Amino acid sequence: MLSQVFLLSPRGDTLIFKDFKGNVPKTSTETFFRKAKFWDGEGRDAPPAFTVDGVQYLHVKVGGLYWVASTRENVSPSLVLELLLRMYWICRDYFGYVSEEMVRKNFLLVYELLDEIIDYGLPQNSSTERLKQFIMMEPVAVKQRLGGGGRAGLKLPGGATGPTEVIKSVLDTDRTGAKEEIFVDIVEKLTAIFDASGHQKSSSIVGAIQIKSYLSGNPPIRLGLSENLILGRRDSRMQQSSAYGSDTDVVVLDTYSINEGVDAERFGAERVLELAPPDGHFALMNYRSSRSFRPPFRVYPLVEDDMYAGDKLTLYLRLLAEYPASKTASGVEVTVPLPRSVQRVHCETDAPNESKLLALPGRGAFEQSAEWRERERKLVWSIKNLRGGQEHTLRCRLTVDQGSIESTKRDYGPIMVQFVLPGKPSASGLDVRYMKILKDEKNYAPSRWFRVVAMANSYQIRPH
Amino acid sequence: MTAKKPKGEVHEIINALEHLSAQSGSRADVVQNKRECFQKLIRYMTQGIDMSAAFVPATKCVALSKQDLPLKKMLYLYLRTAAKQNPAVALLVVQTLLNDCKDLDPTIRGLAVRSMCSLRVPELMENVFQAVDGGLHDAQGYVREAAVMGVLKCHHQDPAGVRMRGLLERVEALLASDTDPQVVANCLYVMQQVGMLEGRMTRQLVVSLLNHIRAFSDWAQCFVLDLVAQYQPASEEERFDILEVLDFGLNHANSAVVMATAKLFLHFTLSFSHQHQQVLETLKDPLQTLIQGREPEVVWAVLSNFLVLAQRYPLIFSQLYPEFYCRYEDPSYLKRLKIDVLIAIADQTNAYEIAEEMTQYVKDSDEDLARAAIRAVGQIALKVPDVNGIIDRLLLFLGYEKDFVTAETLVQMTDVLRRYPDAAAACVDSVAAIPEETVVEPGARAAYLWVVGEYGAQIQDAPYVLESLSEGFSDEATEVKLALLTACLKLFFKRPPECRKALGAVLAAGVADPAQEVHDKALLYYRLLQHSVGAAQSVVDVQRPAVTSFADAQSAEIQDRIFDELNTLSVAYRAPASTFIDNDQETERFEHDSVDMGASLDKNETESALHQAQASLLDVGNTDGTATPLSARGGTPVASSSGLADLMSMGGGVADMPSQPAAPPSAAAPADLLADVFGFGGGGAAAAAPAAPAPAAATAAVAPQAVQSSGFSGLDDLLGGLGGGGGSGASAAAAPAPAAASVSLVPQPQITPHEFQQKWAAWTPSARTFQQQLSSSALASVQANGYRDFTAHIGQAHIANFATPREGSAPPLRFLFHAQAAGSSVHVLVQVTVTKAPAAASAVVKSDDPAAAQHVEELLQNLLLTL
Repeated sequence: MLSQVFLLSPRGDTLIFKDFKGNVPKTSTETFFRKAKFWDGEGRDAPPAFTVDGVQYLHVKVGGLYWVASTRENVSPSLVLELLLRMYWICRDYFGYVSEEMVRKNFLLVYELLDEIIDYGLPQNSSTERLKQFIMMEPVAVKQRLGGGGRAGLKLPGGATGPTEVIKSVLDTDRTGAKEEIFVDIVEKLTAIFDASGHQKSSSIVGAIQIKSYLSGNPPIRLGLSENLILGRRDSRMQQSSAYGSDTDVVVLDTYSINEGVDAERFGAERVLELAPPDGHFALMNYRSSRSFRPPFRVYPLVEDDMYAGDKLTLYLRLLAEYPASKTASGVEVTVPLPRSVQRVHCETDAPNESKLLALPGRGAFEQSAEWRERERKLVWSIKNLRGGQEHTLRCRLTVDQGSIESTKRDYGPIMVQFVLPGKPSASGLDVRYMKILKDEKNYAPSRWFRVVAMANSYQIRPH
Repeated sequence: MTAKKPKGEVHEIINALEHLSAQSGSRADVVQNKRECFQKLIRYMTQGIDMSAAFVPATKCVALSKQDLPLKKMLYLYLRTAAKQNPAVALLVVQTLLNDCKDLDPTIRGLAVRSMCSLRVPELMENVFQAVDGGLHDAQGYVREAAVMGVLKCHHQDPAGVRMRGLLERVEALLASDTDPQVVANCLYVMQQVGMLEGRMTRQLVVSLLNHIRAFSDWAQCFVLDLVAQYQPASEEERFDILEVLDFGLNHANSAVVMATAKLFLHFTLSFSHQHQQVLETLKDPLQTLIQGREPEVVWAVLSNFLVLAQRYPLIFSQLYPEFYCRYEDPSYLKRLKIDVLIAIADQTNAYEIAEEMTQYVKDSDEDLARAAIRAVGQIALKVPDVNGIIDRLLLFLGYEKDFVTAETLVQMTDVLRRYPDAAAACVDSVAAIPEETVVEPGARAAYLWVVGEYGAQIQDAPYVLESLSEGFSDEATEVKLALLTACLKLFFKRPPECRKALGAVLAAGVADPAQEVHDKALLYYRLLQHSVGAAQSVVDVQRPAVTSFADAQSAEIQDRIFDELNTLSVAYRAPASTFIDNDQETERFEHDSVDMGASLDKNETESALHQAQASLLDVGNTDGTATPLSARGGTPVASSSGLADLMSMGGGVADMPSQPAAPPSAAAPADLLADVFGFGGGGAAAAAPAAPAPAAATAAVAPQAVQSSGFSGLDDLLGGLGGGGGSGASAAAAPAPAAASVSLVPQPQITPHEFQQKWAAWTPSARTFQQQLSSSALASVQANGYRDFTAHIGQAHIANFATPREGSAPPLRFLFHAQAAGSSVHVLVQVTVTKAPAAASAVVKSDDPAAAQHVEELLQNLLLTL
């Protein structure tokens, strides 16, 4: 099926290269990279599959690397792309996280994994769990260079991946006797569009229950979900609940999918998910909900003309954190694309004078910052930590081309908000009531971690 | 294989290994050192340095630390590559490998079997067979998995050996008896690859696979689903039983399983419309979950499939439209795909909302997205009849005063006006208000001029606009010049006194223009006017019916083929597999070289020639939907119709068939008229050029030469072809009349590369050959313009280009052509070889019908003469 699999760095260096069939030239890494990098001129993303000289190239970009497969057959793109992503997750399970340096240091282990996952181009066994029996090499740890704000603020790829902060190889528990633990995250990504007056025009939630398990021996676990959970529009409970007339007490998931290992019928009947968790990361359940939620953030833009200068405008952004003060969002980023007519931007946050802040020990000196990224034509306002109930205002002086005041007013936006907001309740209302680890053993008390996190999927304010 | 100082590195490693092998193998620190040394060794090797010289110390090292598995694995990794670089080394370790195949640890056995089969050293085959044979009997599934795949690896190296040992039969037996799902999956794959599965997808096999389907890995499930999709259930009951068993696949977390299941469901229910609808309904939920919740690459693959469904069944999905709105952080390929889906499902119920959303994208700082959004609004306007709100959007965009927005909108606007002439009243004023100098892009300028020419009566200062443009005529792009000529002439009929000056200026400038198309068009207009103003008006300025449907970018037949190939790359490229997959059996085919392309033609050349042919097919498939309608204005170089086809089709009242290259005049009158004109023109060489009926620009360019060499008979032929009005006869114009009587060729012959190869090989005995001298200018014209002129020249006789050499290759140049006789399935295959010294063209013509071959040969001889 596949002819080659290779991993390239963002600069096109070959990190891993494996040829299965010998029917694609060895220069394929260069062919791929040249084509992908300069797709249709610069700045555009190459589609995940393209063809050059009868060779089909499929790739995903995760962990800052290109994961590429080449073939001469008319394969299923879904299958190959899923397989490449699966390889990424396996590497993540084994290394804790994936980066160029990590792959370079562990290249033998990657080859060993690849050798087990794919034989002669055909995918073989790809579960982290089963692979463990056959993998002999140990991962080499690389000291991770964390940015000041931790990983929470990192922009994650669009998938249902959460801000999982655990960086730990699945091999750790078995071989080193490290602490046994299990992490359960409810990660919800919010989509919402607001108009200029703050009216919510559309909203939806995409969520996942993600588990990262480091339990040796893989004992089964049991998760009880909210009892007022309604699954799909055809759920019989839906009819009952509509009889109550109130839908505030119920959690409605429009669609969902659950992990293969779970007894779906039992889940349908009792809202209980039971399975033996495989090692490493996996999604227990994915779901969508179109129920409207209370928006955690609101942004009100306002543009004012300058009374004295014909080429100046003032843009005010008022940001309100509308969640309880017990929660604190991190990595809040408000982005405003500005049209070409804008020449210069001067931003002023409402944070106390910076010099004063610097003098205060223990306080984040750059709690707030705003910058104008001219090349991307974006104004970016970041707030590291934002407690519920707070309000901030950003004031920007825009210098625009002569005579383009009106078009600038019309063409800025849409305003995008990014954030990571941990804490219950989840936006959809979904909750894990309890989790049991079904293992009869005295003093067996592995650590259990629960988290609920809301993130922005596409959180837009359209000012026009 | 060349690195800075390979010698030094190899030596360093060899020394280190030798040193280590002298130490006790069981000490932990020695093992650690060995591992580090191996890591270095393999790192160099993966950089392409030949490390096979380190072979002996390396094996020795490992032999002395047998119990260390990681080290053993590294050795195997090294061995596999080193054996390819230097087969001799593999022979030295056979015994070790065979011993490992009998090791107590199944991990080592599996590893050894897998590695041995990957060595690809012919001398070792005997031992490999032995290892595979043992592996197939192994008690551990892990070893059997590797052994089954080993059978396929052996089969590709030594099929006779595999047959002799009955290995495939053993695989077949395992398929029926094995309990390990991965072994079963590998057996299925091997059998499918060697072609043993054809006709063997029995009910029994299908049932047993389906009963255990959930035991398979995700990937194997997909494979089984593909196989079951080819199975024909005996009864309706069985069919729906199968669907029930597979229902789980639609809610699978792995999108590959969902897509494979969806394909099977759709194809199984094709002839049961009620159930088919139901399947489509059930697909909505899983599709939405995948689209909203997964990585962009996965979403892209799902949406590529979905687009095919959306185009096929727009009604079912029309209410899902908000799911396809673009997100700010979506990669650009995903945004474009989403917009295409939105266009596909737009109808009365959602058009307004979609257009509203597109309006947001038009403001986006991403120019590509903004343009795509404008095109989407234009296409939705064409698609959805109740158009008011949507045309208003286009007018709104004109007010944005961004040059590229205006440009893109103008292009869309013209299509909308041709579809809904009634909308003109609302639009013309807005277009007229655009300052001409802000319209920069040639396509947009041409569109702007089309509006001015067409609706000039309603635009007060239209003549002045044209006049000022005519002054800068020579600075415009060809496309704009052509549009300007037509606009001036059209407006001249409406407002003669005001337009005379502009018309005179553009005609004079046009005739003197270096671009052939412009020159031809100007001259045609000039002579038409000279002949009779009334006649000119009846040709150029006629009331045309509104265009009710634009030619689809893709024919229904191609769309059906893509639907058949759902869940393959065909949906991603929006083209059937035959356009991008060279053959089902990869490179081995090329090694056998079934096309006898001459001894000197190596396989790479064959390959690239075929790829180029396919690439060009792909281009056709990808043609933007708007390109076809545009060409009808005679303004764009897409079909380079040089305005003549445009005019003729106008005269014939078939302006709404823009995709036909040169629509034959349906009424005799305009053709007669034209013939008169050219008769009047005195048959000058230049006059013959515009009369050439073939649409390609290349023809126009070479026509004067043609006249010189073949004298006036060529001209007579051309005009005869016109006057006769025979649709396809006209295009065989260059052919001698008598030969054309017996065989005629279809305009667009169809053949797959595979068929071509087969037929070419089969028809060798009946091949006809001839050789012809070429002048040096003819040789140059073959090479010019990336061979396109040459292939277009040959193509005018309906001998279609099949493959060309890589652009810029040195002679000898080999071309493949293909023709098909009308009304029968007779194919003619042609290979033309152009050599430089001596400058000549030699051709090989093959066909199963001698008359057709002779006909094509004559055509070719003529065409080569007129190069």
